[in-house]
Amino acid sequence: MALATGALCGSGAAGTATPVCWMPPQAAPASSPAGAVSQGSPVAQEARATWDSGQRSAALAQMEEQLAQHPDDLDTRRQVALWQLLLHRPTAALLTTDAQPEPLADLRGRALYALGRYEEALPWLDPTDQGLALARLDALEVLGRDQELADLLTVVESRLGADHAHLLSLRGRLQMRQGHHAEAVPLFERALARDPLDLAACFGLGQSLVRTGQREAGLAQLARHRQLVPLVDALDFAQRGVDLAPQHAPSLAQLSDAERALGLIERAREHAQQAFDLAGPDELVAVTLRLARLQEEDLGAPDLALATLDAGQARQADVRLLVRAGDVLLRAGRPREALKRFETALAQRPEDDALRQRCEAARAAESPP
Amino acid sequence: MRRLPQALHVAPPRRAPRAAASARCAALVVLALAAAVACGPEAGDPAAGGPAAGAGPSAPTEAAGLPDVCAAAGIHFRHTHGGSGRKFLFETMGSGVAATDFDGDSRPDLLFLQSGTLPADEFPAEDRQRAQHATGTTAQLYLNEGGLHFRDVTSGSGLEEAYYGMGLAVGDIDADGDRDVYVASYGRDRLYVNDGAAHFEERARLAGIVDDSWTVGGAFVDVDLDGDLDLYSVSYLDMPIASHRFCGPNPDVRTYCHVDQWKGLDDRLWINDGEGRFSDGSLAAGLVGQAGKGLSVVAGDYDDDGDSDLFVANDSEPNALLRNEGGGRFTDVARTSGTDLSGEGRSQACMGSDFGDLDADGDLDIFVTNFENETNTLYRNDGGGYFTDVSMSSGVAAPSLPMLAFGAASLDVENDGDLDLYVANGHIMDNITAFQPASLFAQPDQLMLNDGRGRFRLADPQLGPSLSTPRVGRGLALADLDADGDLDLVVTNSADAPWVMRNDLGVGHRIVLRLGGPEGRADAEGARVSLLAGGRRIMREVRSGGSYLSHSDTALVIGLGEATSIEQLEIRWPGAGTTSLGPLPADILLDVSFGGASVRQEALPPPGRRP
Repeated sequence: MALATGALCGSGAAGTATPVCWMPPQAAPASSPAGAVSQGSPVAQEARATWDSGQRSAALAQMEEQLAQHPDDLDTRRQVALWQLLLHRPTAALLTTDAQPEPLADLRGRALYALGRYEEALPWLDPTDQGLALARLDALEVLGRDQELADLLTVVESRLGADHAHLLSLRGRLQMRQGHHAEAVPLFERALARDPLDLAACFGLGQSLVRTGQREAGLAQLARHRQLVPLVDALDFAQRGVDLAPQHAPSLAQLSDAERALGLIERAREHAQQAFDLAGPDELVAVTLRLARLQEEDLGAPDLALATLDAGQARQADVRLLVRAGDVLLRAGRPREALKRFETALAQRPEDDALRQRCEAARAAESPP
Repeated sequence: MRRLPQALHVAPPRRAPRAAASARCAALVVLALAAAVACGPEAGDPAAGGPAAGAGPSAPTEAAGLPDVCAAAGIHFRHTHGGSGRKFLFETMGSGVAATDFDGDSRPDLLFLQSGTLPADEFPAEDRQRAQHATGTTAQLYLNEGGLHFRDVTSGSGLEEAYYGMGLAVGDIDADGDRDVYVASYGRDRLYVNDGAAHFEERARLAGIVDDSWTVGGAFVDVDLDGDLDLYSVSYLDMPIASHRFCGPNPDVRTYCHVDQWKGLDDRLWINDGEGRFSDGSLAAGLVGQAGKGLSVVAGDYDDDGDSDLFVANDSEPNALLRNEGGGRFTDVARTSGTDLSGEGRSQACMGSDFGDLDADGDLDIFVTNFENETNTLYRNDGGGYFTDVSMSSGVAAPSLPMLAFGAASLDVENDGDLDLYVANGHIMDNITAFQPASLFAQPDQLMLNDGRGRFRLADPQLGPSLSTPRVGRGLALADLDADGDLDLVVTNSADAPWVMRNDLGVGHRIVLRLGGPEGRADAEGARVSLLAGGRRIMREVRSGGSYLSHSDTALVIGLGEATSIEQLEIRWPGAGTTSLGPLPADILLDVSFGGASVRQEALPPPGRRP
């Protein structure tokens, strides 16, 4: 049976918004020793189903139990280590590979890389493997082995193309370290054109511009970098939450918020919509409000926002959704409909002065003096 | 920056490949040292059982290394932070040490600051803003009696006052020829004025230094070149006791809160009126509103324009590089210079810092110590006001990743003519293993040896107990405690005894310079010495500030390697021209008064020998 699919997006280099991703091999490894459980076993299949349902920690626990019972089963060990990595547990993954390091070299290298143990990771990061080669480039950079980095970079560029954003960024930093700031500038610019959230390229461009006499442009770039850092961190954090529980509506909503803050509106919409679709009763109102806000403010689609709020109201009646719908309508120049929503809400909260004021505002808008 | 997992980092096991590699490197270092002894042109005849006396580099009398002589030297200080589980952040920060002469006998003494013992009720009144009521223990002053023997003279020194001490700065604020002490604390600052015999009187308020916020250290430096010492004091967090709250990975595990929980505080610049009274020059200096969460400051003339600039290491905030514009005014050029963030564009948890010409190209580079999972950072001065983060290529990065580093000092430990790096390590969380099983609370220190071109390798942990025995290192100060012409090291350890390390590695030739300050001031902070010896140019500055919470002796110990003479030596005095000397023999101590009016020379013992 094929291993779990999905990209392992590692820590990435120099704060790139598009971290180095590594696609795990699809083919099953060598057959298991006689008597060991196979990946096609009922337990493995059940774990896989659990994983696919979004209960990833539970799935991992099932497979870890399986591994404890069949420690010689390479397929199971590989699956466990892979899932541990996908759930951001590199220490556990490293320990899992301890028993059979050679056949699990790729996962071991990845775990050591994720742990920042770059020197130890290098022997396990196969330069001929596309994903591992990118991690290897990162490790070489951290270790200051610039000549090896330059050599491998040339090879990987020939494989992935010289317009690969991460490679451009790496090449730019290499030029910077060699004092070639003028040469670094266009490399960073090209990297940013492909990945505007590449923090390393943004920072490198700012520094290189300053050093080549373009002080104001450089400082502007450095200021942008400083603004981006916490936003990209928030995105990274939110993504990890979704990696752990991809069906968890609040995590998806948080990811959407982080994307929205970075201007990644389409991705934000997609994740907010997923959150809306998956939200349970306790989660629905907050998730609905966020999706509606995005639709109104970022997509400029108040009708969509209204539809979302109404759909949310249909699933989970809540005065907050009514009030927001009224606000959207009022801003859209539809005070009569807004008033209707506010009055319905006021009926549920007769003591709410803010709602009373909203009603008055809607009436005033309906009958301007 | 590689977004290293914050909660999952694993320190390499003792026998991990990296440790093994380090050991191999270190073994080579020892071999190299041995080779220098055995094969150097000045080596004595091995058949005679040892080198000829006075003939140059010679074998140390014991196995070369950094032995701990703390107890043997009569030092019984033990740090206490008073923590009892409530995890006040300041518990884990301190405290500092000064290594310099306080009683005028030219022998560096030791002043250990104490954090304090919190009362049993642990701040019951939440409205108490500061730990003014710390009780139980005080700073301790040890006078150097020669021969690496120290005497505790705390009682009656005027220093036996209880407060929650953090760091200190030392300088002759009233130009009476002795060294006074500024103490930063969690609470009000103190200024201990020395009577010349190591008796002190606390006069902070009388001198105009009024600061009740959480300060951590400072540097005495003549920022306006008017001949007296001004004080840059570093402030950390606006953290009243009432703001204390629970932090932890889960309700069962309490840890120290991250500094993001609090706002930073503005540093202060205190301008000296020439008679030891200070006024707050922070506004004119451009420091107001910076609120940088500073943990150390070091002074140095990075742009070689004749005045002292300041580098401030800020915890999880961009660093400041304050270019001295004259007249007590500064411009923060950290962003344009490339020293505000790491080379990867990230704020780091910068703790200790030091200036030093680490690549021997004649200008000052900057070294900063950082948190576990962050590299210690080396900013190479490229000239023109620019720096490049060369932590990776210089070799300082990789060994530092598992360590949480505080004290930082550049020193030529072998007297071979290049600056090495010593780093005091120790985690801040005593229960770190509860949620990061592979992390270590107590950690060994690290010595990084320079190959002469600014590339570093980890020294053999077997060179000294501090490099192999885990403790919780904090402050770090340097001084030639045994007058043998090399720098010894003192490291404070949280809730533990300090390391007092006799340097037996200093086998190269050297010159020691004590530079007097203007108008009778004890030291010439900011003076720059450039010399040519054996075809090699070496530049050093009289240090002010630097490391972490600590103060190192101002005497310059300049290693010369195999050079037995100095062709030229130039001293650039702060605001007062230069003095040229030479040719000079190696292995001498020069006492030079300000401006070079008088020069006194005495011989040092042969390299590797104690007097």
